[in-house]
Amino acid sequence: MNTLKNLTVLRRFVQLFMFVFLVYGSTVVGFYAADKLSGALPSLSCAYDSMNADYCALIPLQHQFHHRLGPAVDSGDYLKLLLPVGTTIVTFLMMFVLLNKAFCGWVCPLGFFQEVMGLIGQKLGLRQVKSLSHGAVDKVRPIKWLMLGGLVFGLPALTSLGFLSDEWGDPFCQICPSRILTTLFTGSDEQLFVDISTPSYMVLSILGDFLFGLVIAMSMTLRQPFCRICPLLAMHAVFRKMGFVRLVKKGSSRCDKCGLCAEACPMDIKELQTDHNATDKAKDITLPDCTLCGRCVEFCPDKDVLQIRYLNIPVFSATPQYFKRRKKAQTQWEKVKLIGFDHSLAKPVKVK
Amino acid sequence: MSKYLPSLLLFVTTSSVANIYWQPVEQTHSSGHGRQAKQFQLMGEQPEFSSVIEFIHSDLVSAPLDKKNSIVTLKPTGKDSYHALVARQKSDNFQSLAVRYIYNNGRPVSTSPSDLLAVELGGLQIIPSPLPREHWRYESLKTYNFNVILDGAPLADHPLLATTTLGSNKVVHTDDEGRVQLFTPEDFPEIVPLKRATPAAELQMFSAVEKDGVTYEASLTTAYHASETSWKSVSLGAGVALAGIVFGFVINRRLPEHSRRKVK
Ligand code: SF4
Ligand code: SF4
Ligand code: SF4
Repeated sequence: MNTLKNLTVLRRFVQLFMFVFLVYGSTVVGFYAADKLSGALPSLSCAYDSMNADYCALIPLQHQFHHRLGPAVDSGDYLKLLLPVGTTIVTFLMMFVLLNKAFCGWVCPLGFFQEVMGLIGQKLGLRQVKSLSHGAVDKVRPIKWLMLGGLVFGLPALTSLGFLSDEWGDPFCQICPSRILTTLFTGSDEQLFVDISTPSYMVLSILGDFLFGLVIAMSMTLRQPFCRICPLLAMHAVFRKMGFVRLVKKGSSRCDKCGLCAEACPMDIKELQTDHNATDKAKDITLPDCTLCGRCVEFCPDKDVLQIRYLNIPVFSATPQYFKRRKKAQTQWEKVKLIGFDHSLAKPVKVK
Repeated sequence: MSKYLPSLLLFVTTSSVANIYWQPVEQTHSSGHGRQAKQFQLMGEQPEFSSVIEFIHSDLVSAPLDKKNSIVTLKPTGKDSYHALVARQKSDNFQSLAVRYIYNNGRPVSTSPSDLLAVELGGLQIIPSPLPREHWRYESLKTYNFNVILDGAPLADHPLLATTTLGSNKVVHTDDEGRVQLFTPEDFPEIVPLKRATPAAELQMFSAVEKDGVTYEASLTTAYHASETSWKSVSLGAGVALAGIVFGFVINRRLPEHSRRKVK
């Protein structure tokens, strides 16, 4: 019984609840955009989902740059752009400060979906990459900034200024896996399409569909593959110092030899192990890629070395007792496999 | 059978429809991003009755409107979201209502389109349930729902005539709760494969009923657009997603792994 009482199980329940609420919540909050919770949610809940309870901040930002920048430049009245963008950012921040990057680890439908696919992959006995190599992590990290700068702001801005055709006004939405995922969950296949109307739309729609397939397959082996390149993760990183929830660390030299936290981290944040190891004071270690899932705290065997704090009050701390319990639960969980495929997906192998 | 007497006389052909209804003077862009004045013409007016026109803004502020030669000009209100253009003709034994919901761009308002739809206009009303969400639009080959009410109460088992300016027409009936479903036809003679490239057509819904010696008529009109399924292929999309899945499994076998405890 005890093995089920852990933070990850609690988080799964919260994620499931948030998934159902965000994907189908129009029955509670109302159908129209005006009824939605914020219209600038810090998670990839999708505006294209006709049954959603709220939608992400990236769609208004793309639209505002696409439709407002050009007229603002033409008229010299930059308030035309700054007012709506400011409203979106302020709305986003009003939500974001409450949970910080936990909007990823606890709320986001696409984040949850990738975790569920990971569980399915593990149960099918597919290869599980516990930690991606440091070199690969370093190469992937800048992509989220390019996605944010290029697809959310850059291309919509260039479109608005007339350098690109209209198709490039909301390029991130056009390749966003959450759009396809959440609409499929509402029973609509409308967003899984190849658009043959123009070459640009065709390229974008093919990219979007391909990326969606890639995310499905990769999340069965690698934890959170899309999160690593997600523009919203980058946006969270910019504002993370304003959030009330923080991951803090008071490390010691023992950390150098341990590394259990970094191994537990679904985002392969190696600095968890290496940073703040010679310090008397707990330091904020909510790093740009963190999703505040709390897994590192669960798998840290040293008392109070890692903590989740809310407004600087510890709400969850590492302890040796919890670690032992959690490790045992994880070992038991990983032993349960439905089918044992080897990595080639071709030859079923026996699972002991 | 409804306890009201449906005036089936109205349902012969589009041209013989007696109701008043709104029609755009020029085909306006329904992309929702234009802020220019829009013009609509009130059709089917009976000269012996005067028409009263009202423009209900998205924040529910109501403004009377004057028409010139049956045409009203709507200037941007500066308010976002759906507005309702309403025309009424009335006498002792006759009440006719024409409604059109029009999207306007501007500053956000605190009310929702559901508040606008809940405004009681009196008599017979055809109410979208719901309207296409903000920035969406009516399209062909989709199912839309409407409620029909008479003086606020659902009108059960009652016929409505749905017509398009492209020549389709269909009679549909409300259920026990006054709800009706309409599957929009794809009747565009030529579809240009791009959003907004095919000019929109008009979808018109009419109904009439007689109660206590008074004839009530209602119309609801809206622009509708060619279905995007003509240029968006779901089967191709599924094929590409499948290719992504296969490619993902190939990559999965090559992902480089890091082993714990050795800090670089
Ligand atoms: S497509 Fe993606 S970015 Fe766009 S609204 Fe949906 S979730 Fe947000
Ligand atoms: S990083 Fe992952 S969890 Fe966070 S918003 Fe993006 S997809 Fe969702
Ligand atoms: S650093 Fe910790 S809280 Fe952040 S994503 Fe990694 S495991 Fe989760």
